[in-house]
Amino acid sequence: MIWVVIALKYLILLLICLFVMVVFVNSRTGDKINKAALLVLRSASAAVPEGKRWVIDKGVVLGRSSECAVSLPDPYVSNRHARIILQDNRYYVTDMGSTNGTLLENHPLTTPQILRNGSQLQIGGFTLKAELPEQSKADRSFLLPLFPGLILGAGSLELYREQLLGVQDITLLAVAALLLVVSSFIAEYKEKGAPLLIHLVGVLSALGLVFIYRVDPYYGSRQVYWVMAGYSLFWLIQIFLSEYRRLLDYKYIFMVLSIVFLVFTIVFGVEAGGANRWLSLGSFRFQASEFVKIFMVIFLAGYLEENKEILRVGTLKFGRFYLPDWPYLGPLLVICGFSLLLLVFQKDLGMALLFFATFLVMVYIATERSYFLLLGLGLFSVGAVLMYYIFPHVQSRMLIYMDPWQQLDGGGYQVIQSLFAISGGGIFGQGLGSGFPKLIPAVHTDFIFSLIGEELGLLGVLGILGIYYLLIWKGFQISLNAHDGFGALLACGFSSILALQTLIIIGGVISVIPLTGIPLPFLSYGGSSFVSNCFLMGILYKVSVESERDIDEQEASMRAVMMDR
Amino acid sequence: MQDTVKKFLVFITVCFLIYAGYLIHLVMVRGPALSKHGANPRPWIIENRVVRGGIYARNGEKITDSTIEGDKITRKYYYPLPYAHLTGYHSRRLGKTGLERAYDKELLGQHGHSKRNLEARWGIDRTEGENIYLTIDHELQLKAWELMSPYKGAAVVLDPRNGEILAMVSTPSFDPNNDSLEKNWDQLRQNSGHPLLNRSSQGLYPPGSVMKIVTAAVGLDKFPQLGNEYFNCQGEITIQGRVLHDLRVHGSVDLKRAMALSCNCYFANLGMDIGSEDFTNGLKDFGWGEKIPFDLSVERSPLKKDSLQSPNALAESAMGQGEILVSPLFMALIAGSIGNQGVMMTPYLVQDIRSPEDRVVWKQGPRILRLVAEPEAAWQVQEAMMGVVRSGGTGSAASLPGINVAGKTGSAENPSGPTHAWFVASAPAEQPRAAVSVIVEHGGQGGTTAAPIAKELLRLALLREG
Repeated sequence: MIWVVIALKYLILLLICLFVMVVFVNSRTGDKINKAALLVLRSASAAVPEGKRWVIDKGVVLGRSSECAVSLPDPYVSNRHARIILQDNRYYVTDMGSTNGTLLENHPLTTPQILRNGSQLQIGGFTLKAELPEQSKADRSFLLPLFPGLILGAGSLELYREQLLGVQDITLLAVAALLLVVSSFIAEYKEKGAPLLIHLVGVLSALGLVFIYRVDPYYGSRQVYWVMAGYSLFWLIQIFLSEYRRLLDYKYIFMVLSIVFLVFTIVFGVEAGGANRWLSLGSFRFQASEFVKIFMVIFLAGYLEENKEILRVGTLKFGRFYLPDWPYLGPLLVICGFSLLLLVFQKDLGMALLFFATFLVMVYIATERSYFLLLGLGLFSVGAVLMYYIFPHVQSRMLIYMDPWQQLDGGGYQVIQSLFAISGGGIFGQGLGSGFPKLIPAVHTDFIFSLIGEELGLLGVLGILGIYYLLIWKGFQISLNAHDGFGALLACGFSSILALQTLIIIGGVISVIPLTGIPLPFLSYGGSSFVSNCFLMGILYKVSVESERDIDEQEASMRAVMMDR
Repeated sequence: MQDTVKKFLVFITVCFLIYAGYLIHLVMVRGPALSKHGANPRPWIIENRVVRGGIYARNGEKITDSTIEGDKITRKYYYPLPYAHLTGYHSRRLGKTGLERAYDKELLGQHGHSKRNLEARWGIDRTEGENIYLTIDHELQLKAWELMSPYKGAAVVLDPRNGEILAMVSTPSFDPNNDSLEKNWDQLRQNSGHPLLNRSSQGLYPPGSVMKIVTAAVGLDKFPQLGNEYFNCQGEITIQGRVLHDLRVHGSVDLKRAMALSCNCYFANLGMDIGSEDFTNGLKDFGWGEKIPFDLSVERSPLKKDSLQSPNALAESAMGQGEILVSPLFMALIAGSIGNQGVMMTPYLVQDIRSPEDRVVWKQGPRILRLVAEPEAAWQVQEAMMGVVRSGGTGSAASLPGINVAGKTGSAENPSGPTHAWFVASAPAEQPRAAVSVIVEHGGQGGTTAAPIAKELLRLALLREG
């Protein structure tokens, strides 16, 4: 009996650890490209035996000079003859203005060309073959897409044993599991795109469902519907949004939408949980700021993409610094300042902080000017000090952060209970269903991380941190590989939002930074939060799909050129 | 743009690493303290499904246990006053102290991963917590309480060979039974006698002349020939223009005689001869400024770096006045270690922890805490202390027939009234099986008030040991 209970209590923790491990191992095998090599088929010199291999790594220069990584001692080879470079996970070969030219597959090189597996290069009297490990999706994982389903299964078994779930809940969870697993499989077996995104989101959503159900099945069943809505939105974006570039045309509409949403919330907003952030439509409340954060990123990405050159060079002089002209800087400051003001009046400090930080990061990344960062941080400090003196709720938040123990039963109660919960979990946790969620107010929304810490322990929360980190890391990879600036800015804006939101709420919950209540993406209960984050993921995924398509199109056009010859 | 993206990714990575590090710190380092924190309601929820374990004295005498009456579990303390400072109290409203707090997890059966503990944690059945067995000798404890209860003060009896605490009382005391405790709480807190304070481990007192043991040991470590040297006591000694008076003129004295008569001039002079650096190091060797690991919290004896610089401060400290402070437990450890050839054993109060099936699941054993003096020096001090208890010495009231006792009296001056009466001793002096320290607040002379109590405790302790 006890062994069954132990197995059920810790199965979910085991699955999390396993998942992180499998993802890690898979990403390692993805690094095979680093083992790419050049193989000598025909040699013109005794110093270079046939069959010799050079590892290309991130790129090499080929030439007669002994300083070249690939040294080819032959009078027909120029000193620095050709080079191979790695870009966007592809190898390109270029002739460096050699005397006798370079032949790729018997065609002389004039422009940089993609080097493919098995291509033959002729340089002087040498023939070299490129050996590039296939980086295609040949090694599709059958295991990874199953994890969301496994986690939901393991969770619902134990919750059922603890009599926290009814049969009806199990049915709903089974539907959710099916949805998550099928989505992951589609992504894994689709030709393009980054399936890891979907796996990570799937696992987070599954964990969220388990723990929300564990707190209260009422919220759990509602969250199942939100998961369905979010995933539907995700796939609708994949089907109906032909190109993410089309968002660029509507950037001002997104700006106007942001402002309208926020103003509406101020005017018609309903207060809940100390913040006036809910917009009520009949019986249906939604949190406008969750959508505004995405609209804002789309607007910023578009605006910055169009104006980044101008924003980089300043004309207004402030001491040693140059700032761009008002017509370019103005709209940025207005939208940012306006939304911040609205959020602050809504008492939604977490969102205000998230908006401001995202804004700053995007401007910094687009313009590559660190004085924007310094200026922003300066403004932030001034603003923070002002708010501290103007708004009593900011002041009380700060005091709680400085010493929560002063207000054991008052303002500090929530944070302290959260610390008790996480530290009480120990390394392995109390086991699923054995914590005390009722002791922490808002445990199913902002404080779900504490409950996970209590029941899955240090290993569990480190696993969750790892999953978030992988998600964010993948987002930035997509940004780095995006084909155009708009895509790169979109991807990095969305990744930054995810990163900052995760850091802000987890930091608050473990009391590293002052607590400002915002949902933990995909884990916390909340329809607006889940659906808007799916929207975000949808566009991020779209960017990843299109960046691969761009490479393929390039390849296809190149093949066409060759055929002409 | 790629560069700035990468820079930001590095920043995010660092943030995640900091968070991970902080989480590890929170769970591994702060975890144990947080789980025992008074504001943490979790243990109280577990209390509802576990019958809290009992606390037993050395030979199985029941001190505390929990009984179920209907649906309510009540905690009963069978010997409330003598044991209050050891067991501590256990109240939903007031929290937990003493062993109830220190061994909360064990008493609730939440420590470890045995089947029973897991069942308790997961609420499969209402189970029982583990029982704690103390090193306390029940009869000795009751005797110590009986002897001390007319006074304010503390008494500690321990076995210097292994560090087992045989008796430990602090007076005045309180009744930890819940109904009485909660009713009298305000009065207990405001009482000027501080009944809630465990004086034996948390009270810090000036040691008075019992400090001369330490001065002698440190002196012998520095001057091995000290035992053969004589000093002429003229009844007062002038240090930098300040005159320190002695009780009377002792004339020419050596170490043994100075100890037996508790000659202030001799030890003031010895302290100055040792010098501030060596004296400070000597105190450190004895454990000043160091934490004493123990089952209950112990107030550490402070050691300020600059306090022993002037000759006056040095002389005063050497005879036990000035800024030197000790707890009764620490003083018992010192007396014991002198008798135990300079080896101070780590004190412990909990002998073992047993499961409800009476199987030992955890055990404490003797551990060396530190070496305080060379065996040769320790024996010379021990010999000098035997002179204190012989007729003519200041502590002759503690002599036992047929057994050599090594002891030292102390009368510690303090700002709030008559001197505190100290007596520390160990017996049999040649190879002590028991060491005792007694302090009676404002009890006057150590030799008249504290020594008879110490004698009774030693007699009974040796008798009980057989």
